[in-house]
Amino acid sequence: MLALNVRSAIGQELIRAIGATNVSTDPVALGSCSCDCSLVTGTCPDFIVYPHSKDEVREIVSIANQRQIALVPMSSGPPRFHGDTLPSQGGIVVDFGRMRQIIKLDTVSRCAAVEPGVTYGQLVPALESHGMKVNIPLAPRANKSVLTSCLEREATLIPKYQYDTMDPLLTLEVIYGSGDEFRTGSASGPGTPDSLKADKVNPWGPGAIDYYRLLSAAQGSMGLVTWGVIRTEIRPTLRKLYFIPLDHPHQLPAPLDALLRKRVVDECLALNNTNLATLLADDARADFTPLKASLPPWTIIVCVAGYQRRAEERVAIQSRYLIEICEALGLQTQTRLPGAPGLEQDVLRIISEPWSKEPYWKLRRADRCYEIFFLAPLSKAGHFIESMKEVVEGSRCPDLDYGVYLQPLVQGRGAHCSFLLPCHGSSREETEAVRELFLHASEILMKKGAFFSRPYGPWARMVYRNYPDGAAMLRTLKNIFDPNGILNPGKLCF
Amino acid sequence: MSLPRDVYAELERIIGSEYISDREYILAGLRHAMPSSPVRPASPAAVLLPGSTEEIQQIIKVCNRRGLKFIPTVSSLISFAYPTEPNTIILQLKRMNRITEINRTDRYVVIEPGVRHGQLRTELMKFGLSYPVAAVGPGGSVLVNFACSSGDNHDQHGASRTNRYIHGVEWVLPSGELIRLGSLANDAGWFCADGPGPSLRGLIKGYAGPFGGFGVITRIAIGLDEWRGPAGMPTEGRSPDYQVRLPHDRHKVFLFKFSTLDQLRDAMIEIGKAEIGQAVLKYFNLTAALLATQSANDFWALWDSGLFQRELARPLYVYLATHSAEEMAYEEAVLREIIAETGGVEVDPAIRAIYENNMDFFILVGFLQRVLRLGGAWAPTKLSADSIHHMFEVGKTVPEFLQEFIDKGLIFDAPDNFQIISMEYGHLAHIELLFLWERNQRNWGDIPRQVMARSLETEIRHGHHATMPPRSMPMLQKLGPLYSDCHIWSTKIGEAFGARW
Repeated sequence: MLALNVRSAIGQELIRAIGATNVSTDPVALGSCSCDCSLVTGTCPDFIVYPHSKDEVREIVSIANQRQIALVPMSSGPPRFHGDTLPSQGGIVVDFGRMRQIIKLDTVSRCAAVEPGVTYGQLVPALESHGMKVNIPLAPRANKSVLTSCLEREATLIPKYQYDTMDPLLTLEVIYGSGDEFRTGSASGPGTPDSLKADKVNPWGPGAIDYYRLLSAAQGSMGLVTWGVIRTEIRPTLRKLYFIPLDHPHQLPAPLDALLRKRVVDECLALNNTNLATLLADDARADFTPLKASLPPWTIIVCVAGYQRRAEERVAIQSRYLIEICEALGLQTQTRLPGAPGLEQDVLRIISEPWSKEPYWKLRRADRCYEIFFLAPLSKAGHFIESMKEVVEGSRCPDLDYGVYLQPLVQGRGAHCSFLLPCHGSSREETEAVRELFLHASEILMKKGAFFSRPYGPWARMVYRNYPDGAAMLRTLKNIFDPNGILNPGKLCF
Repeated sequence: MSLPRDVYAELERIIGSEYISDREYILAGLRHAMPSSPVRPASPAAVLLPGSTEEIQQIIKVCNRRGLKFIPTVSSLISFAYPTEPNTIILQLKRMNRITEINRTDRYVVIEPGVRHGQLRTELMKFGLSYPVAAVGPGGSVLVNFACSSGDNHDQHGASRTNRYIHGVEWVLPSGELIRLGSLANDAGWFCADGPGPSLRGLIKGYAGPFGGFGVITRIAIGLDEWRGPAGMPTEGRSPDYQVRLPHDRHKVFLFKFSTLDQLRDAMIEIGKAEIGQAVLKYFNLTAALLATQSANDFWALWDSGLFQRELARPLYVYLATHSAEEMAYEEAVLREIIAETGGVEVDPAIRAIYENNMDFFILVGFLQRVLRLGGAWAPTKLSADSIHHMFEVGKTVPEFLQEFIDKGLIFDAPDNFQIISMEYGHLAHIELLFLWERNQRNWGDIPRQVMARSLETEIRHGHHATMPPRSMPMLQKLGPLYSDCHIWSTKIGEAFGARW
């Protein structure tokens, strides 16, 4: 807790640096930054600041270094789920919501340069009007920051456009915790951003270090990103959806793997009936149960696409491959949604657009939810889904109706597995039971080989206690980029 | 200078007497000058052939305690493989040549540093699997190429650079400690190299790697793609008179020429947008002539005919590899549509036949050593990447700085000898300019330095990004201020972890 006079002095410095209208001490606003839907316990920040430019960000970092006060970056709107934007010791929340300029949309080199406050709700339609799209996560909320999503290595829907887990992020500009400005990859130079004519799409380097990787999944603890370039793709002129209904989770990997080996499909994911019904129900509370009952236990959703040339021919060839692969595995493909025909266009919209309805889909069935997610080899996804089932059955909430989402990644050579655990905040007993399940299941899954590559909240302790050498290296890097430890202290192993 | 006997004995105890030597006739082979460099390397103090990660850890700890430097190497085809100062030992990793796991289900392979492209690529074909083989020839180390050096390859249009395929890393730090990156950190297997949290993988390689200056990477997993060809390399004849033809209904090669670089650029961009093709590149024409001939006399006859200068000044090489004849027909139709729109025409059929008969050009580049045949010296410059559009803007400026060297007779007269390779379906492209010069000129060692300096000056003048700062500290100190002060961060990281840039 800052002394009143110190707090006042810092407030004056912030106002001088970025203007009074961009500094908030409104108790309601501050209070809203102290909690989210995660298990992390946050504290109330002392200020929220709203920078408009790189220079203002640099000023804020300078003040924080002088005053030894924490900075917690925040780019997306609520609801938030991971605890990564919750201050652990007060300080200044840096809300990038006013840095929301789409700096460039490049249809020739297929990329977009965006500020951190640019959201999916903003970017997706802008790209659409230029015949492009971006590889998005599953139904991201419309107010979700595109850059944050990329920086945090969130899973995306089209594995064939992922060459490693950093895609679709290309280059970026950052103000490190030290206050120094830096640009990565081909954005680094030669010269200044104004004199450099490169399209800034080469992510690697400069030199023998991949600096952008060091900023990834860092929860803003290494630097504050002021713009980034992301890759975009041609928007298909023709798309055809296919559904593969399945009874058991161990059936999921084989068709997904075969389809991705041949690069047959664009969007490609699997959902259990709970998650699919949650996404599709007209009114989640009223329609969910009958819709879920009508759906098969598991549905693989894939999309075959044709682009600007001979789209029909491409879709016909890829469709034939898809059907052949599934027949060889004894599986049926359908163009109508199994169990709920007529909802195909809704599915197409869900895998193409950000979620703009209220509440956010993860909160449709209950006002709270805890999400367990990790990476695994695709072949082991069924094993982890079964393990989770056993843990739930042995928990204090054995009948919990939880959602499962399986997202193949990186050409299908890995997968993101997600378990969405809903609970009602009004029931203390239920909330406690689900919290307990969340922690216990995380431990069990980790022991069985689930890779928690983005260790938010309580996962950080679980992950880094078994990785002391890696944690030590990360602390060394943190000390280089953020020597005073002002950026989001208390997160990860910092 | 040899090692003190007690140090030698300590190292010998770790590795065994048969795998360490400081005999003069052995060391002589490790200090020969590179053909293209005037630098005469210092002699190593000893050469060691470790057989395991544990041995490497122990050796490095001895080096740290006894004030020795070490250079890990496999193929030793670049200057970083040779000592620049006394008290340096060579860690020759060729004994560590095990393919420790081929995971056909999850599509990765785990390899040691001594595994060569010729060994791995052909082994994986048996299982219907593949990976992008960097254009370094079959003798190149796969691990070095993926994790420590460069990694551009002819097939990266339908795939990517090799650094994108790293799925797991086992790394002996300069301190001798072992660190495992990515999913290995949590004993979750070899399928992901990033995380947990900020990705330490960023330290092992940027655009290029540290070339052995940052500890020793002892094992990596690389991701695998599906191989669309037969289980074995369909080779006829004997080297150098051999041919490799893949099934014509699913593998085809096309060569087109364009009047302008803009037309060629537009064709490359459109092919990328259509997501067709396995390899799409503008290739070197002088290098192509060297690869296409079996002797110096053959080369001069071809070059003096002017055929390659005329036909391949602005060529587009396209290799289509599909799963079916139907898909091939579709891709060929799209390709021909694009070529017609952009004004390309087919090159002399005799040239196309060279590549149809040696499709290994797109797989293993089995005859790459022919580039060295002329006996002078050669060097690359540029060596970075950005968009196709930007790389062609860079390509257009090549005559601005290269012609003066040609006019003075300092380098081979081949102003079009640069390649631009599309990668990831045209999302990026790589550029490289190769130039050759005679070593019998005065101050011949200065020629590459001058060409590279003029190349960089031209880039700076135009605001072009086509060169990445190299890892060597003197060059990095000089260029770093132009590249976002990367030398400062590189120095800090190097000092923190004991890297030798």
